[in-house]
Amino acid sequence: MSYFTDKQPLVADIFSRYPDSPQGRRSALMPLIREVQDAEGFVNGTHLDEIAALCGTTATEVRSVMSFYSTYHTLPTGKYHLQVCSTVMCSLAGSDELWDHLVEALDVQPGEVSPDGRFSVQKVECLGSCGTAPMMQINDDGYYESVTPGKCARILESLRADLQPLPDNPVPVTVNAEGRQMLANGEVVGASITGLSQLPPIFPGGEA
Amino acid sequence: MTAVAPNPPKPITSGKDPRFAPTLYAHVGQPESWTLGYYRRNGGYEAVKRAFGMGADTVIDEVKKSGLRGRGGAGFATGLKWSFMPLNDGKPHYIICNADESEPGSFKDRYLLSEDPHQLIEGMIIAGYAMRASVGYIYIRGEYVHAAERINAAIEEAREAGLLGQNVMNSGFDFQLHLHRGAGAYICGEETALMNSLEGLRANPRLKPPFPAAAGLYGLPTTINNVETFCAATQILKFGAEWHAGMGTEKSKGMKLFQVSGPVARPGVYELPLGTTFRELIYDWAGGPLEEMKAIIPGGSSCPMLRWDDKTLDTPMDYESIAGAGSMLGTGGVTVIPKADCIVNATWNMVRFYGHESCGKCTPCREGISSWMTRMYEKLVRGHGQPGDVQLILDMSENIGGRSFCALADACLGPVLSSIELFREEYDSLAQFQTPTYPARRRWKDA
Amino acid sequence: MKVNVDGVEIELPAGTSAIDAVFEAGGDVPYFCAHKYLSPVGACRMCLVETGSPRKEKDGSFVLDDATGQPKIFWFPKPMASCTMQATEGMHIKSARSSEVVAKAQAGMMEFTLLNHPLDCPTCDKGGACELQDRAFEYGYGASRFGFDRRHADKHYPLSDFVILDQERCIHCKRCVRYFEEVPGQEVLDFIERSSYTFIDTEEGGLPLGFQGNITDICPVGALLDNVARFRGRNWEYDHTPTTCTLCPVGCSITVDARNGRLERIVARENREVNEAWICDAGRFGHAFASERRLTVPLVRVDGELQEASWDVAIAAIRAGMARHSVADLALYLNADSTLEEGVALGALADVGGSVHVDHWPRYEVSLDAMPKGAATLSDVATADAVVVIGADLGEEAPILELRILEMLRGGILPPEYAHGTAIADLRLVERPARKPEKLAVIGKESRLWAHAGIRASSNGHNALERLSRPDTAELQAALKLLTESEKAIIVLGADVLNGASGSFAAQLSDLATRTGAKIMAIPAGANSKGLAALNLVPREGGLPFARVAEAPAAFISRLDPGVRARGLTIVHDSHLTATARLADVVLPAVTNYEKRGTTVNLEGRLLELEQAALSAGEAADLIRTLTAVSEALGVRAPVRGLKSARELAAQKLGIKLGEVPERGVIHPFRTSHVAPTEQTHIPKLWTERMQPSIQTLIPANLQPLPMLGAAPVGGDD
Ligand SMILES: Cc1cc2nc3c(=O)[nH]c(=O)nc-3n(C[C@H](O)[C@H](O)[C@H](O)COP(=O)(O)O)c2cc1C
Ligand code: SF4
Ligand code: FES
Repeated sequence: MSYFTDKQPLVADIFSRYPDSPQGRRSALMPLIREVQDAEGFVNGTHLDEIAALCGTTATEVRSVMSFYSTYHTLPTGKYHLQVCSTVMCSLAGSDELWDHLVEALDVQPGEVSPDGRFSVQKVECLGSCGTAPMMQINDDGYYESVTPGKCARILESLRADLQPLPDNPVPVTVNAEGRQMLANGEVVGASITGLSQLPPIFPGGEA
Repeated sequence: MTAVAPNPPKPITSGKDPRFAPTLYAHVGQPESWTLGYYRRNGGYEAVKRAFGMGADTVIDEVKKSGLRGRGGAGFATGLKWSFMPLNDGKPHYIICNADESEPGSFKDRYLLSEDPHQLIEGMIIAGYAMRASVGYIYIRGEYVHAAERINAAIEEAREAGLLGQNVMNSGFDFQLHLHRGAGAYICGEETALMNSLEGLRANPRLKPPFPAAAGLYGLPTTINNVETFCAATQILKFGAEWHAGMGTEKSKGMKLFQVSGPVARPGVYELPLGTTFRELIYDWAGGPLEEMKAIIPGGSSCPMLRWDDKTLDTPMDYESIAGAGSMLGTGGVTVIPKADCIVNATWNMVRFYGHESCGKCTPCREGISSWMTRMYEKLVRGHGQPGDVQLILDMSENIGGRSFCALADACLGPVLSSIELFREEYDSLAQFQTPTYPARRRWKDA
Repeated sequence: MKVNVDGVEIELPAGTSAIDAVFEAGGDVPYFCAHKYLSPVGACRMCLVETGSPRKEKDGSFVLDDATGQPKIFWFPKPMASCTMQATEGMHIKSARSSEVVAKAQAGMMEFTLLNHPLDCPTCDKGGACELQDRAFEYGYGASRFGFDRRHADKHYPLSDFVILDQERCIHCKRCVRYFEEVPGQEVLDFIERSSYTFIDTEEGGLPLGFQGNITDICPVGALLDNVARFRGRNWEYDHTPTTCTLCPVGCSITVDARNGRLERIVARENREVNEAWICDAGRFGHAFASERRLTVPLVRVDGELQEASWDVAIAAIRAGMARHSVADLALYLNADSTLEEGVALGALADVGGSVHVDHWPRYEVSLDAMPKGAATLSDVATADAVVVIGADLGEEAPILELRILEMLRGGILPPEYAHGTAIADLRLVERPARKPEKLAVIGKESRLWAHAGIRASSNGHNALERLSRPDTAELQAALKLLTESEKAIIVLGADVLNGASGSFAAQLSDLATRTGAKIMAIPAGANSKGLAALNLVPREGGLPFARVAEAPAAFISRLDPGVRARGLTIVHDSHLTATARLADVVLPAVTNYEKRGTTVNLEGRLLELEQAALSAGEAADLIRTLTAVSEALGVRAPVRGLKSARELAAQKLGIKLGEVPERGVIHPFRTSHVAPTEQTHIPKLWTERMQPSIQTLIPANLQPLPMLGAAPVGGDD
């Protein structure tokens, strides 16, 4: 049975987001690849054919599009796919060393899966978390930020025990009740600020 | 070159006090800020009501009056851009939110998306209404999984509450909003490549003209804006064009999300009026540098770096002043580069990034950057430099600049040309003596 | 529209691209990705020029230059790609001829283009005919400053049996990818990966046979090569003969490349009116027979065995064989791909000899040249607003017609023509064009075209037309509606309907054409059936059609292979020892159509010329010379003794002047009308056994993705 045979509502839902035309049908290509990859971990040749048929195109085009992007996989990844940001801010914060450490400690090269099937690694480009460098993402589960050597060791230890720690979601700076920006620990930032101006009243709603 | 000021920071030089209350990030970090209930309790979906009340054309006028300029990098006047959409042409129109945030040094959109999705949705309904678009897409980069989940949930909530779909809030306006996830390609931030990606094609940029407002997504009139731009539109419709125009400088109005990264005390995202100085951002807000610095990248890695000195630190961060200093405001992603880090090595990383992200369509970018420039840097950094190398990089840059199909290749030249100009001696040292001025050091450490 | 190119003002039609403006002004710009029949994409960035335009004040007047009083030209700060830029009123363009900046920019771009290109010109089939090589010579620095290892990758990757990819040589111009998408409408080849790792590949288990060979013509470098011709010769060693393909009635313009008397390669030759820049795979790759197992001397049956002989001996044998026959006994049959001149010669011999058994094959019974709105041309098809194809398998009958129909579905944009030729970058062509399948109806059996048609109706040939006239299904109704409501409709008729066509068919068709205003294109059965029919080379009163050759008292059979012999003397004129030749009494060696001069008439009624390629064929002769020899044996004076006298006679018979046909041919309105039973059905088949090239199957059962050296491994990293 092919992958989407018993998932018609899902397929219909994806198609419903795009116009009912050949071009619109083609738009479903990336969401369909994503579906397969999320479920199976990677996309193989049979999937290519199936997606091509659904989108009204050929396997060549599906492979072409797929290979353009860096988060699609054609081979299985480990149970924990560690994606280490290697772009400039993380690199300046030590991500090259973090990478070397992972490759060595896990004994796995890009494209491989560690012997226990647990780990695979990938260098990725800036994941938009430069303020908390170095960082990595595990699977699609979320970001692990400010991954210092100590934190890295803790994460690996938990993963080896198949206890994946929750991803971080630190918010950089928040705004308090007076409209003052502050850090998560309550520290008010912008030391020299004295008194904020009031926001104007919200405009009354129009006659909608 | 000024070293780090070891003494108390100089007083704020922007002269903009009394300060303005943040709005874009006002709710980021609050518990449940991403839910419709929270959003509504805090004045949510009032702006769109107001927009419906004033009529589509007036909304565009309001945005024009506010002086809002695109926050995605180029700084194009948003109201003007909206007014390019044809009127009454009988065709479906589209609006797209560019949530592909991939420029190194930028991380403002991610929090807007995950912490305050309704602010964006409201902005898109307003924009859709103004531009007669009945469908909107949020194109989010594939790696932003958490944000994508929040957006999807928020769209669902909004739909159930009658804020999306047929007859939005009984206004007679129909608006559908969908999330489309990318999959890891920086070029998808370029608006025409984004449209190709959304259409299920390879994300190569398209020829312009035709411009998106004439023939965009599916060949139909389309407008693309950055996440922050749409959110700012929400605030403008909420508090009025005058309020917005009263902040910032004469030509750069409103608040901007500035992101600070690098070794400073408090890296993060700060919402400040345009025209705030680098000094205020870095010292007052971000707590000052933790070590001696030599360069500032003002708005994401493609913006030419500036020397860390008093002149730069006192430059107001608005479109014109930064352009005057020889760089760009870009996304407002401010990165500081420590003195002890080899600038050639850091630039190599950026060149490698653009080389890796090149779509491969045009020759100067594919061969010039991905193949050649990257290897020139590698050669220099690895200690195999030769005397003519820097000159060769400069000459190659001339052959690339302005001749590529899209702006990605030019983006790569930002750090290349500026770093050579500012730190030629570091390059020369590698080219002539194969010795870095600042040798590699251990960077990965526990705090 | 006035445009200034390198200081010279020229007048141009609106919509012209800047690159065409330069060429029109007699200048030159190097380019790789642009192609006359493909959408401009601006990928290679070689075609850099400087451009500037005048600007207007608010009141509409031009901003003037204070010094000169002329409109001030505002120049773009950087050189721009000219292939994707539209020339506008008053624009100034500087090519390398007048701008140092452009010359340097082009040299710099050339350096990038050559960066990863291997220096294997000495062993490359494209060497000597390579756009990159030529342009590098004209516009390059002459040396590379790259100094690193070039990219290494697969140099012998088969994309199919016929096309080999040398991945190192690819310069990513995307012509091949665009070609498949835009011309045959097949998404079978595309870029894989991105950035400098980008390469082309197919995931379809090999490129489909049909039109794949064209990518070897349009590849500007030696990355895509004709596997049949691979390593057969260098371009400067080939004799290039411009001629016409006679495998089907389209009559594509081709160039035949021969070396040492062998036909090594066939490439497409541009003919805007007929095949544009494309030919089909059979026409390109199916030429093995021209150089393999050829008959080079006459054969004569001695003691039951065919033995090699001289022409004199063969003539004597014919004379002896004819002793038992009268001249009128000799039936004369020729292949329908024979030239008009050959047909004239054969007809004339029949006239003097009094033979009534004359025929050409293949053909259909009725000739349908006299239709109300006249015959459609291929350009008519490409610019039609509706096409209804009935009972045709175009892939077998007239492949290029299929491409012209697909061109119609893309919007029917015919490339503009300038003094410098076809536009190099026609800005109206766009990538991934929106097709209009609703403009095409296909009635008949399923074929390749089926997939592109908005209206499809299964039907068998013999009553298809009748059913269309009185539609009994929704599809047929839709097809009829399409015909009726369109301004420029065309009906294409193929073998399935034409085989059964009788006299009443012509009337019915004429009626439908009048009712709908459609033009008709009936695909002739053979490459020159239309011309030979006009010469009336069909059985005369009491004559036997070719199907009954076995009943003929004696027969002369030129390049046909019925597999039987006549009752009496059987003379076969052929290039190969066919089954029929093996049964013959005398076999005369024939030249192939690549080796003759003459004229054919294609499906439009277009006269097209054949030229003679230098192939070694021993003592083989064309039909005119052969008939002269046969006449001698028959003891009659040959009425036509050469090309010249054939052409004179043709001028008398048809009122056309042969031998002075312009390069792209010329339409002649043929109005032949006859009904001549054939007594057999013609089954069109493009590829025949003897056309199969003798290449080993290079393609593995399952195409593996190309391994890329230096690329990140699959799976982990992208
Ligand atoms: C190579 C390249 C990458 C870009 N990446 C982004 C991006 O990640 N996010 C974004 O908002 N704009 C990006 N842009 C700018 C967009 O093309 C476009 O100008 C912007 O989305 C318009 O929105 P705005 O008017 O609201 O700024 C990029 C442009 C280029 C040339
Ligand atoms: S500059 Fe060229 S190769 Fe680079 S991303 Fe743009 S179009 Fe693609
Ligand atoms: S960019 Fe290739 S020909 Fe113009």
